[in-house]
Amino acid sequence: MLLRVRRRKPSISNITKMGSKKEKQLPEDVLFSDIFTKLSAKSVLALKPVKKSWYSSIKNPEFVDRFLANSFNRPDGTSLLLTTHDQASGQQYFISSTTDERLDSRPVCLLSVLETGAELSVSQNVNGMFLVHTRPHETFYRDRVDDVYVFNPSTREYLSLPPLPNRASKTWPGSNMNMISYFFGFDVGSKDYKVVGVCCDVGAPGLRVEGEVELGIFGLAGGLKAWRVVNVDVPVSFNPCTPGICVNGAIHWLVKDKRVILAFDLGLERFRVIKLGDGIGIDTLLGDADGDGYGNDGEEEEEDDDDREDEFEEETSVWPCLIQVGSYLAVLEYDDVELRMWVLKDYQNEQWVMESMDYPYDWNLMHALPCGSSHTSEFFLCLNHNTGSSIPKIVCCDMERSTYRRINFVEQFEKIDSSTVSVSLVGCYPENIMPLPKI
Amino acid sequence: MKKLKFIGNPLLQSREKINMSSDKKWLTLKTTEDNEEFVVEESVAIMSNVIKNMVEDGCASSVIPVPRVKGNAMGKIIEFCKKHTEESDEKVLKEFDAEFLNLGPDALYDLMVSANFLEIKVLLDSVTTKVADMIKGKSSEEIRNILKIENDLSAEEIEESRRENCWTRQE
Repeated sequence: MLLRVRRRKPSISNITKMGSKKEKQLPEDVLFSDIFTKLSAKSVLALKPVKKSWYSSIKNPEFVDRFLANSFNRPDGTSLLLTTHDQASGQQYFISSTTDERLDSRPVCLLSVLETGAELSVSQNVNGMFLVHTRPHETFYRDRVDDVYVFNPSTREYLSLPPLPNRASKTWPGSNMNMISYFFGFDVGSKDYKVVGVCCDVGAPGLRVEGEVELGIFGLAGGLKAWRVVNVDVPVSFNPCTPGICVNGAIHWLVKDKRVILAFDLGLERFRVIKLGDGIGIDTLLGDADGDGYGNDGEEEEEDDDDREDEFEEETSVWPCLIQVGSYLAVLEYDDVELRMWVLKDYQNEQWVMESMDYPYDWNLMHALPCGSSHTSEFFLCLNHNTGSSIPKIVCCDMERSTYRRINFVEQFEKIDSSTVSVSLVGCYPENIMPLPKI
Repeated sequence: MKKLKFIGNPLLQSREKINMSSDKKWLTLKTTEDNEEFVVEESVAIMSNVIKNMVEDGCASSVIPVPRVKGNAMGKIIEFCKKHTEESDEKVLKEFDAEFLNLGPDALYDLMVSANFLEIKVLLDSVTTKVADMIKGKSSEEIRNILKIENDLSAEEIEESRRENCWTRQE
């Protein structure tokens, strides 16, 4: 008697096609999901002329998302962005460098040159994309149109935004004397990148925004191609010239004199307040009797003198400051002995965790500027900010291990005469092949 | 002692014999395309997520039919899985993988398709990394040759495409 051998069909639902019968071809889904995600952005873009359907497959949002996610796993998936401005030629240079730790002296590569008049400000990146825009104090001039670009260094593409609709000043009606601060973020809910322009009336005391604020919002998706202007209540008065950090679908600013973080939710398009935990900035923020140059000097009146603008920016200390560390928001501060980082580990419940490390005595942190962080939670400090040096002195700090290492770049930045211009580190970014919409 | 008589499928006989003699669990995998059979340890076979699910669902009591995978590919896969189950030293495994993947494109693709089908993550990662390395920095013509893709663009379309991201062809 024969025993029956039971046959069961394998429980597989993803049967891949074997391709054409005459030539053994690789299944396209494996090509895109597992092979192309391992390439550099440059190599992926070079795939466009290989096959007709690939031209659009490479722009497919699912593939773009997968590629971005895998950038964090690849050794060459993240890079550093540096920038400099040449006053004489009116050009802004964008340079990239590697995050490869094994190299003693890191090579740099000129990505792009932008023709601009005045020096532009470059924001922290959101998923590998940067906002390049006219500095707030230069948006006053009536006969000027603000430069606002979304820049993707991985594809070297720019999106030039149209100007914000003319906003008349309330203090001087009929004149276009508004200051506009631009910020960039990612709305997790609608999966859309948004540029936010905060309008500050020139007559506002201390150039602070309070009460109700006019915001211009420009979403990259949705094909609207124009700014929406909304009026939103602001719970605390804040200085819109402070840098904004986007995490969890909201843009955040540190409001030092109120000891809070102001957050603008990009989905709900509303502001809310996050309290700083006890002990944060106890010695370094105003609101304590200290007030000796640490903290916000924002009560100063804005004068019309051009030179005063630079002075104003320099007088306002950058410390303590908000940074992004991994996927968390953190407040960075220092005292005579140590650097302290307060990480907002539980965003919903506003729970903070403190980490600290000692720093060498020869670091003059008053002249230091934090410039971004990597996804592994190390952050960068530029130690010679605004001291007139052409090459930035960068250290990369690891709070967890209380270690730091110096980052050296090759001396010669090709095509840039580095003796006359000063190069600064913007931040660390992952490669993202997302195409920018055409406007 | 009464001698046990085995009747029926001789393969079943030998498998049950093995079962009785050791504590290890064994499975038989049979490639349905060319009817080759492989007896493997369960711990090796479950490197395939597909087989693992079947074992956990309790429907792998006898021979497991594996469609779409040819016998020689199956043999290679089992060799890979065995090594990765036995060896834990990263360096040794890296060297093994490099040697193991020293195959012609056809064999590589068979391996890749099979690893994808059987959901063997480690193998799929290794093979896809190898293929990615093969096409890095190559021209579109060379990529077409390596991946066996027919050119379906006109000369103008190719030129247009290249102009869009011309910096990728410099440096």
